Parts: sequence; structure tokens; C-alpha cells
Amino acid sequence: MNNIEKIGKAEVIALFIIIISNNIIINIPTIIIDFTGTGAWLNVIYLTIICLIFMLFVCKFFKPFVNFDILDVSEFLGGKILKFIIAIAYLIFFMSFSAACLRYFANNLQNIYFDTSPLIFIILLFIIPIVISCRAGLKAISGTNIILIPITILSIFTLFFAASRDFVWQRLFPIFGYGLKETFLKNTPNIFVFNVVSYIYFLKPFLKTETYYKKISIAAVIMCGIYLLLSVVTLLMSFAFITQTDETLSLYLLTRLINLGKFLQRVDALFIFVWILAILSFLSLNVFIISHIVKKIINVKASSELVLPISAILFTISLSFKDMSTLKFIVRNIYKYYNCILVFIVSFLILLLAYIKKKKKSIKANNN
Amino acid sequence: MKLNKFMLILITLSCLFLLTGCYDSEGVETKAYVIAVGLDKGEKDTLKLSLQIAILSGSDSTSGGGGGSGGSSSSESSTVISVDCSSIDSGISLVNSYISKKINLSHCKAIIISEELAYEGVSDVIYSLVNNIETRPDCNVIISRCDASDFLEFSSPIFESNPANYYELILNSSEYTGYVSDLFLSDFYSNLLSTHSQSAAILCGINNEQTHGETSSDRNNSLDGNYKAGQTPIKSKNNVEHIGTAVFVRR
Amino acid sequence: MNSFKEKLKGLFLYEPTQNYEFVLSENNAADADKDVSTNFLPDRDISSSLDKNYDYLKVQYNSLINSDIIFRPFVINIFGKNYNALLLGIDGMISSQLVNNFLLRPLMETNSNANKTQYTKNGIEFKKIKKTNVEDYIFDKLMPQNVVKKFTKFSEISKSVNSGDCALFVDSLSIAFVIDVKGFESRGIDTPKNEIVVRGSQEAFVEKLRTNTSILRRLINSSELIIENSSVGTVSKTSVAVCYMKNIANSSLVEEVKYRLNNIDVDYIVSSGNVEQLIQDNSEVAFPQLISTERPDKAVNHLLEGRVVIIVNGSPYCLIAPGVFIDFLSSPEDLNLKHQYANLLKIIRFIATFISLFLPGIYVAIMNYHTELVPTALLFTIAASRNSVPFPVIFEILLMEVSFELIREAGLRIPTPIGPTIGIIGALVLGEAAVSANIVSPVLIIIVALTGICSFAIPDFSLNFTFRIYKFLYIFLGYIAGLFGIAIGIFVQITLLCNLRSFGASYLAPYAPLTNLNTSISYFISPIWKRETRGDFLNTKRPKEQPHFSRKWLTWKDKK
Repeated sequence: MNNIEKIGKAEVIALFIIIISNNIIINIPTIIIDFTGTGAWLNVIYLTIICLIFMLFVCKFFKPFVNFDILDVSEFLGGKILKFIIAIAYLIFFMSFSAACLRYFANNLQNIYFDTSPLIFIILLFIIPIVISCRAGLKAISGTNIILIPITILSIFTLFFAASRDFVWQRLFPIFGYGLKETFLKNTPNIFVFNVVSYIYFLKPFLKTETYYKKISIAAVIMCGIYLLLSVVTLLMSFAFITQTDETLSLYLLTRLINLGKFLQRVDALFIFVWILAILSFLSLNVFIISHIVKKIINVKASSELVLPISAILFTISLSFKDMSTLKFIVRNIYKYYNCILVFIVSFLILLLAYIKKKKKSIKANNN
Repeated sequence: MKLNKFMLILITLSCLFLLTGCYDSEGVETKAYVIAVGLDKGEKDTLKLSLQIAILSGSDSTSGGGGGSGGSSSSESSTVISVDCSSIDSGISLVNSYISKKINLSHCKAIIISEELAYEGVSDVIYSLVNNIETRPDCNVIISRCDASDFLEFSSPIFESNPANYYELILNSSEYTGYVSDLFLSDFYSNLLSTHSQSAAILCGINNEQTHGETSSDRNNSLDGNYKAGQTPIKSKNNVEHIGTAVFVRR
Repeated sequence: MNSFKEKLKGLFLYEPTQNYEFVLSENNAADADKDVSTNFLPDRDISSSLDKNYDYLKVQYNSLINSDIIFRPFVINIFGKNYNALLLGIDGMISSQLVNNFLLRPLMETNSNANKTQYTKNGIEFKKIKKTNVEDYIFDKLMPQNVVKKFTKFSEISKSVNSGDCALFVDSLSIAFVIDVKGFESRGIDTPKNEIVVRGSQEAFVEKLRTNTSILRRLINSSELIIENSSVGTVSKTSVAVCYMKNIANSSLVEEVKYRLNNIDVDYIVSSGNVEQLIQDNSEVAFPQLISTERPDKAVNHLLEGRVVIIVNGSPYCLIAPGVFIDFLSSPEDLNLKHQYANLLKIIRFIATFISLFLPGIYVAIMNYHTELVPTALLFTIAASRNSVPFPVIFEILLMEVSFELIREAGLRIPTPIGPTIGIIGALVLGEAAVSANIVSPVLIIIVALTGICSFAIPDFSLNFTFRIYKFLYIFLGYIAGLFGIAIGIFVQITLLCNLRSFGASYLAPYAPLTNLNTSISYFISPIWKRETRGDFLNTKRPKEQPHFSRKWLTWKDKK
């Protein structure tokens, strides 16, 4: 627990960017559009503002705890029991999210390119590089990430600009989608798309200098908001609204529209290539965080040996979804509320109470 | 990591499963590339599917032979196969059992629907085409005034040796004339579903002596170019022309 | 009659053919376990008696068998007393002129009366003779040589004599003088044979250690340049020099280099390649971790950046530690050119890297899995040409890659007069014939040729091999899973590279832990007046190279 590898500011920002990019790749904007209709972009702006305010409070509460992540804070507040409960809750969160992401992407890859290959093969081909890179440690993961980030950002922005040929402004109407209440109040649980916040909770002790924590987290939330806004607007304007079905990667459908002259047509294979790299990077980060959490619960010295069993469990869980519609149902109905409650309500409460407790302790110490 | 014999054998054996991915590896020469798809009202069944497949002649390695052998056999550069079927996918399966290579739609440049079929409604056909992972969303949708299979057989490139180029370039005239517009499958599909615009497709037909006679009587007052496809008084080999637009209305 | 019998015998008599049989005799079991580092004679101090020293040396140098060991006994006369002396040297290594004129002559001339003072007092002649210390007298007055050392152990003496010095033994002295009179022939300073630049110096390192260090000293006129000597190899005792700038290089880096060099236990070292393999961090990964160069200007540039240079006697290639990835893609030409030209060359080399590593793999992947990516006209041409080829793409490409590597390897050994002709004809005819016979498709020849040419565009010799090895891995990955397999390969390779360290510096510095990119060590160079700091990953003692305004002539002249 004492010899945590530290990474610098730029690497942490790059890690957050890859998390956001992956959220976009695995179709989360489509989920927003499904729930709020054409008012999705207003919803995203509203959620960004709420999340920003939320992050300001979180940074304030986190400040007195140096080198603590959310698990240590819960241990400070309620002893080992609370830490254990929170750790298990986050474990389920990360594990299910990674498994869903992996299954979703691998299934789509199978539909597009690998028709006759078994799904196990594709998922296994994802898991093997993840194991290799996680055993190499956080420095290797963040180093690889920072090299792959420019290509990922370039690909997503190129996609947005190249598909702009087909934008039709009328598709953004009606502006408020299903209605004012639907856009703003009823769909506040849509804030689960900002699950970059949960990574912000966990990556705190890995920063070399803690003073940048507030700036980095605010920057991450703003970037997430901008990215989501761009992707939602692009998707809304490129496809007629009824076609927003979740059958395949919406961004992939966007890439099929790119048509620059007679030469550059159907370049979707190149985009998929870049996204495979992004997903691999993201999943190794996830497995690393999961092994970190497990390490904290069971108190082992090094987390690199835990990677193999965790990857095996991830493999099994990702195959346990029966098909894509089960996955869709679970993500939209169960996962959304679980994420919202865990990341935004429970953790916030823990931080608030811990902050109050710490203030009380310091006042007592000052009096003494 | 000590690599003793046991580990080495284990690793080698576990690497063998990596070769399962090769199921999907299909060489370039095992596929038959479809350039244009034609859809008619079928006699024996719902649909008559015609496929114009490119014939790739093996190029000579001597430097002079390449241009000569490619250009002379313009009639041999593609072939048309028609089959009666109940849907596009079943039609493709039937054709697959008939020819030696696997049908691949990823370079299909034009979808030609006959007028008769278009009058009855094209949504099913368009849906199955859009859902196919291989079709390009930027291929052109063409409504033909004659049968689609006849259209495919009559369309032969004069200036190009590659039939796929022919379809790409012939619709390029929309950039410098106003008689035809470049309409894609993706636009067609989006407009089919949208509430504020209507789908349109390019109109074409075979141009020969018989079709010339259908021009309207008040020719003097009409604008130049006010022809429907097939009516333009052009004299050349029996060939097809693209002029005009077909607009669809939601029922 | 007898001669007739002989003739008949000679015609019909059968004699079995005599084969020349020679078999290596087997070693004794006792000798097999002998430690490699045992000397055959125990090390001793020299004794005061010249005869004992002479006998010992005769045995050690096997002078009855060895033809080029010179023993020259003579007599030194100091103030009337005669001392027997013995000169030991190896013929061909010592310079006879130096030994004759400047060693033997002053020793052999009589030196009497030099230490006596004579004076008269009260009419009586007194001669005062100072007590002579023979050793000091010989050392101080009789040896007009600039490098003279005193040794007491036979091992030290023989080590120096083996590298070209000569040893002087004097009776009744318990030390021996070792004088540097090296005079062996070696190659003069020549143009570099393998790293050719247009606008740079045309000097190259040679095999002799002292000449190489003299070149370094000449180019760096600073007294802070330290050149330390050590020897590697228990039998060959090759001398190795470690050079660094004392006020720039990180001291723990220097210590690590010296620590690794001093803790190598091998019999012999023949070239700097051996040393490189023995001290590099990770020998499983195929990437080179030490820069090797035969150009002194490149070595000097790296020395002044804060790295350590290792020169091995007998090898014209010196090693530079640490070596990170971007160093292997830079050529010494980049320092001499304007930054725009150098950046252009770097972009081209970057493209060449990608092509030489990925092009065959991507070709296999696209042709087998992603044919919709290719423009239609090109695809039809390729498919048409592949119609008549009997092999699948993967077999074709492996065949052509292996034959290209064979041609490359064979081209090294073709005798010079017919070399270039065979190369061109071989490649051309092979390619043309293969295409005509429809064994391979013409597009493949282009791809393989392009890959080969781009691999030559990489400046470093070792990195060339790295890409040639990994290219086969990517072909295999592209075959089993298309672009997905190649993405996995790239990901795993970048991860393993991020984990690799070369003498403490991260291999992908300054990109993966992202540090200051505006230093003199980064891939795309900024103009020279902007490169203010030395590389971050080297942690030098003097991080700032130049002040913010290094072109002082630009400041306004009439600024009052």
C-alpha cells in the first residue's frame, strides 16, 4: 500500500480522456437519445452543469485527505465494515461495466467482421493483451495510453467533421424532445454517463502532486461534457430520429457515411482499428483499478498477481449475458440507477460525513 | 520466467487455438464482386433479383498486354444473373449455390429498381439492403423505366474498362449539369423515415428508337432537357441514360 | 624381372585409400571442472635477484617456444658499480627505435663521477660520495621517457608487456620499471564506412584505444572530460575506457556503468558487441538499448548531452549509454542541418518505420478481412492478378519476404567486382520471372520491395533488425485476426516498450512519462537557439544548455 506508483498530471488527464472516449464508443450517447429524444443535447448541458457543481463540492471535501482514495475515506468514517461494503459495491460496478463494455464491443466486432468466428475467440483476444499490460503496472498502462491518445482524439474529431456533410438541422427539432419535464427532471439519472467521476475518486492517490487534483477533475468533467455534447449533436443531426436503435455501434454507422471523393470510401476499418486500441487501453485501466480494490480488501503486497484471476472472472461475466437485448435491458434499467446511486449519492454522503468528522476532530485537536 | 519443456509445450499448444480466427479469412480471389443490383417484380415469386457481377480477367504480365486485353472485351467484363426469389437475402443464397465464388456486395455501386416494383412500394427492399452490413450507404438508388434486368444487360461502358467505374462516373454528371442529382441509399433511407422530407431516386431507362417516340407534343414551349429517361433523341449504340428524378410519397 | 613384378603389383594390387584421420583427444575429467579464471602460475612479487626473475619470466612467457619474446640482458654502470639488467618486450609491439635510442642508450652509457663532490681542505683531497639510491637514480635521471611506471607484481608487469610496453628489471631492485614504448601498426583515421553523412566530419574511430580517446579529447577541449580505464575478460584482458563529462553526467549513471563493466565474468571479449550484450538491461526484447556508432562527432554530441561513452580496445564502434528509442531514429546528419531539413528527414524516417514494420501485415489483413477498404478499381486489379496465382496471400508474402532476406544476406558476401550486378539482376530477374510464372502477384513484389527499401532508411543498424524480426510477427497477427490482430500487436508492443528501461532512462522518453518536450533530445527538433535544456530523462547536473537569448547579436545595437 505504501509503494504506489505515481503518475504525472498529463498522464492522468490522458486516462480520463480515454475513459470518456470509450463511453462514446460503446454507445452511451444513444442511450441518452433514447431516453430524452431530440432534447438530448439540452439534457447533456444540464447534466454537465450539475456535475460541475457536484465536483466542486467533492474536491472541497476531498482536500484534507491526502493520499486517500474513496476506500480509505470510508475506512476513516466507518471502520473496516464500511470500507468492505463500499469496496464490494465498487467492485461490482467496475466489473459489470467492463464486462458489459467488452461484450458489447466484441459482439459488434463479430457482427461486422468476424461472422463465423466464435465469440469466445474474440473476447479471449481482448483479454490476453489486457493481462499482459496489467501485469506490467500502471506506468506501462499510462505510458501506452498517452501514446494512443492523440490517435483516438483525432479519429473521433475527424469522424465528427467528416460526417458533417450529412447534417440536417431540422432533425434537431423539436428542441425539447419529449417535453420540458422529461428533458430536465425525469432524466436526471442520465448523469450516470459521467462515470468518469468514479475514476476520479480512485485515481487520487496516484497523482504525483495533489494540488492539481481539483483542476484535473474539473477539466475532466468539462471535457466529458463537451465530448458528449458533440457526439449527441452529431448523432441527432446525421440520422433521422427513428433510426436511433441500439443494434450496433452508432459511431460505426457514422463512419459508413464518410464519402470524400471517389477514393476515400468505407474507411470504417481504420476507425475500428483505432477504437480497438482505445478499448484495450480502457479495459486495462479498469482491470488495474479492480485489482487495486481487491488488493485493498485482502491486503496483499502487490496487485500484479491478482490480474489473472480477475481477467478470468471478467471473461466469464462478459460471456454470461445471453444476448445483446439482455445487455441492453440491464444497462438501461438496472445499471443506470445503480451507478447513479452509488457514485453520486452514496459516495457524496460518505465524503460529506467524513469531512464533517475530520473537521470535528481537528477542532477538538485545536482545543486540546 | 523459466521456460522448461512443459511450459513450452503448453504455450505452443495454447497458441494453436489462435488459428481459429482464420475462419473468416477469405482471400480476395474467392469473392465475386457485385457491381449493381437490379430488382424487378417477379413472375414466379415476389421479387426478381438481378446481379451484375464483375468478371476479373487475369492480367498478362507482359507490359503491352494489360491495356489491350482489358479494353477489347467490354462485353466480357461483367455478367448478369437473374433469379426469382422471395427476398434479397434468399436470392443471394440461391445465386451463391449457382456460381463458383461467394457473392460480396461491398463494392456495389447502384441499386436499380424497376418502375413497376416502385409503384408498389420499396420499403421492404430498402430495409433489407440497408441492414446488410456489406452494402455501401453511398451507393445510388436508380428507378428504371424498363425492367431492371434489361437495364443491367444493356448498360455497357464505352470509355471504361472497369464496369464499377462506369457507375461511379456516369452519375458524376450531376456536378456539372442539372438534369440529374446524386442520390444515395443513406439519404433515401433517412428520408423514408423522416417526417419532413420525401425520398427521391434517379430516373433512368434504355434509350433506343422505340422510346424516342414518347416525347410530348408541345415540344416548342418546353425547356431543353425536359425529357424523361429514354426519350432523349440521342443516336448511339443501344445504351442507357440517366435523366430525371423519381419522387416517392408516403402512403 | 623384379621391375616387371613391381609394375604388375602396382597395377593390380589393392591398397585401401589412406584417410587422414585426426581426432581431438578427450580431456581429463579432472581438467573439466577447472575454474576458468585460474592462472597457470601463481602470482608473485618480483624478487631482488635478477636470475630468479629471469627464470620466472622464461617459464611464464614460454620463451623457448614463443618466437617473438625479446629478452635483452645488459649491464648498467652507476658510479662505478655494475648492475645486471634485463629488458623484456614483445617484438612487433614495441618500437625498436624508441627502445634503442631512448632506453638502452642512456642506460648503457657510463655514469661515473656524477654523484661525487670533490673538495680540498687543508691540502687533503676529500671525495664525498652521496649514498646512491639506484632506483631513484635510474627513474629520475636515466630514463628520458614520458610514461614510466613501477610495479611489483608479475601479473601487472605481464599485463602491460602484453599490451606493448617493455619492462626493465635491475638486479637488487625489488621493483620493475614498465616503460610505454608502443609502436605497433594500426589503421589510421579513416572515413566512416557505414555511417555516411554529407555535411559532417569524415573521421571515424579506429581499433586502437588510445587513438580513439585522443580524438575525443581533441573535439572536447575541456578538462572536465574524464576517461577511466578498466579491463574486461579474464584471459583477453581487453582494455575498456569509460568516458563522461564530470560536470554534466549524472553520477549514479556513471557508477552504474562502471559497476556493470567491472562485474562481468567472462573469458574474453572481442568486440564492443560482446560488451553491449553483457551489460544491456533486457536481452529478451529485440530492441537495442545502447547506441553504437563509429563517428566521433556523434559520440561527442552524446557526451555533452550527459551520456556515458564506452570504448573497447579492438573495436571501432563505441557504445553510448543510455539509449532511448528516438535516438535510434536520429542520424548524425540532423545536427548539421537547419531544423526544417532535419524535420523533413525525421518525418520520412517515421513513415519508413511504419512501412517497414506494418506494411506486409496490413496488406495481409486488408486483403483477407477488410476488402471494402480498398478503392474498387484497385481491388479489381489486384483480384484479377491474383486469379492465376495458386497460393493464398499469406504463403505468397512469406515466400517473398524470406527470399528477400536471403538476397539481402547473400549480398553481403558476393565478391566486389560482380556484387552490384548480381544484386540488381537477381532481384529484377527473380521478381520478373516470378510474376511471369504467376507464382506471385505483381502488387506483392511492390510491397515487399517497398518494405525492404524502407528498412534501409533506418539509420541505426540494430534497429533495422528489430523491425525485420517483428514484421513477421505482424504478418502472422494480420493473418489470424485482420486489423484486430495488428491492433493487439501494437498495443502489446507499446506496453512492453513502456516497461523497458535502458540504464535508468525510460525507453520511450520523453513521450511516455510525458516530460518537457522542448529539450535538445526530442524527436522533432526545434531551431537550435530554442533548445535550452538538456534531456529530462538524463537528470544531468547542468540542465540548462543555453540561456534564453543565445543569439546576442540580435539584440538592438543602439539600446541605451
